[in-house]
Amino acid sequence: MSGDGSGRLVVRVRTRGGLAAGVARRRPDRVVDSGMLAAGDAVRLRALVDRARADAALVDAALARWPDGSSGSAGSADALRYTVTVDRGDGGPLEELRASDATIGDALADLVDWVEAHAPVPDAVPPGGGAPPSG
Amino acid sequence: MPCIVPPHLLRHLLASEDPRVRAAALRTLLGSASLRATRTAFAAAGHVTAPTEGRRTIFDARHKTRLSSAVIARTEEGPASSDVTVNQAFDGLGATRDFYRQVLGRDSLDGRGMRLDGYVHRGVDFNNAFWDGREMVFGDGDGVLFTPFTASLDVIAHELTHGVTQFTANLEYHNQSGALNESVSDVFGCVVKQRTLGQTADQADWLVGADVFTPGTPGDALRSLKAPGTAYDDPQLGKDPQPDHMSRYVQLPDTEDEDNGGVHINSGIPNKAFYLAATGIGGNAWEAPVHIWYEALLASTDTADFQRFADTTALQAGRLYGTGSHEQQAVTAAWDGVGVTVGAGPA
Repeated sequence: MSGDGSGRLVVRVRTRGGLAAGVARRRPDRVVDSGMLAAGDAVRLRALVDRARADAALVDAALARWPDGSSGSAGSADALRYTVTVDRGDGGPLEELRASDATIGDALADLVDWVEAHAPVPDAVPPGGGAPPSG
Repeated sequence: MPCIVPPHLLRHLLASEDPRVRAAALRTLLGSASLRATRTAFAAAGHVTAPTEGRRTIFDARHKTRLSSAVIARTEEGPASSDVTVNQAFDGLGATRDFYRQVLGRDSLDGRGMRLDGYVHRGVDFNNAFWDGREMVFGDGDGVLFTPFTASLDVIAHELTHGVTQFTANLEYHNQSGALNESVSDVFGCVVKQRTLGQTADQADWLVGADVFTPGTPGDALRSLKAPGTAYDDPQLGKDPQPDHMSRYVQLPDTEDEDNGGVHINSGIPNKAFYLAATGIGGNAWEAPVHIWYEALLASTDTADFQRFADTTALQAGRLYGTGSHEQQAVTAAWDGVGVTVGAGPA
């Protein structure tokens, strides 16, 4: 049961890097499964994913025109790196959205913050922050 | 679909013919930092930011992840804030700026008086502080793993030194050049703190982040330049993974998941080399040792590895203090102590 009647979504957030990168390498991923959420939360998750994907698609399409601008690490030392994986549970390919503290846009920041706030807390949670609001 | 967009590329996107692309780029810029975005947008339009003698401005992000709604909390001319975090950031930026100006004759991070902007209270329980290429951003920590990062002068100086590196050698942020990038920040972070506290190399603790890391575990830290690999040992966090010798170099994939080839891990090797050099030379680390490392940074290129950097430090020690001098011998011995033989690399 998806909670919103439009298919299941499993969203995984992996956080790496940062000033304490040695510790962050051990940080468990945070995972939210829409099938385990209340209906309203599942709808909200889907909306956040759709918005993040739309922004990423626009930027990626534009990036293809500037293949020389590929290095994302320079100039953002110690930033945390976020990898968001979206599994629609339909056997299709996983979608991946990536950003760092220094480059994260509004839409992806909202999604990361929401997942951090709603994912079950693992036993051990080294860096990456708690649950920033999406405001 | 990677979405890690460096600022220079976003400037290109702002000029896109596709209004949707322009809108997405603008949202990203605004989401990263409102004032940085403003400056970027102005730069894209042909405006130039004038040098400001390293004037400081602290912004309060008001616990948002995005900085677009940050407000000015303290300026160079304004009064102290009632918020201790704001004042700590202001003072830390000042101590670091003064160190570079008074000790090394460097006018702010870019050598041309670049303004120093810092953001505090980023997010809620945000366990990080970082340099984003133009400004400093500080989290408050979650109170368990970290307390507010502004309480640590060595962390503030570490991050600002990333700016100095960016404007000098611009060491590529992966593998050995990335580990050197991190090491230079650790080294200068420690030395800025030592100068502020008036500690000699022998008296200093050589720890990074001790003031803000795991408040429930006194004595530990993020990293130790004196004894890499011993900064922390915790059932949940694991053991400090830093090596202190080339024989223990940690080979990791050059991916973001693996710290870009272990830039925060293998930095333990050049960190230990600096500690050995500083204690071998003796006295204050902000005198000969840091001058040698700074000149080596200026003389290095973006792809420098440990061997080349070691050779460069020895060369600069000879240039500054004489061939065969006590300082040059101490630098050569320090690198030998971590398994890097000065002069052993390709000619």
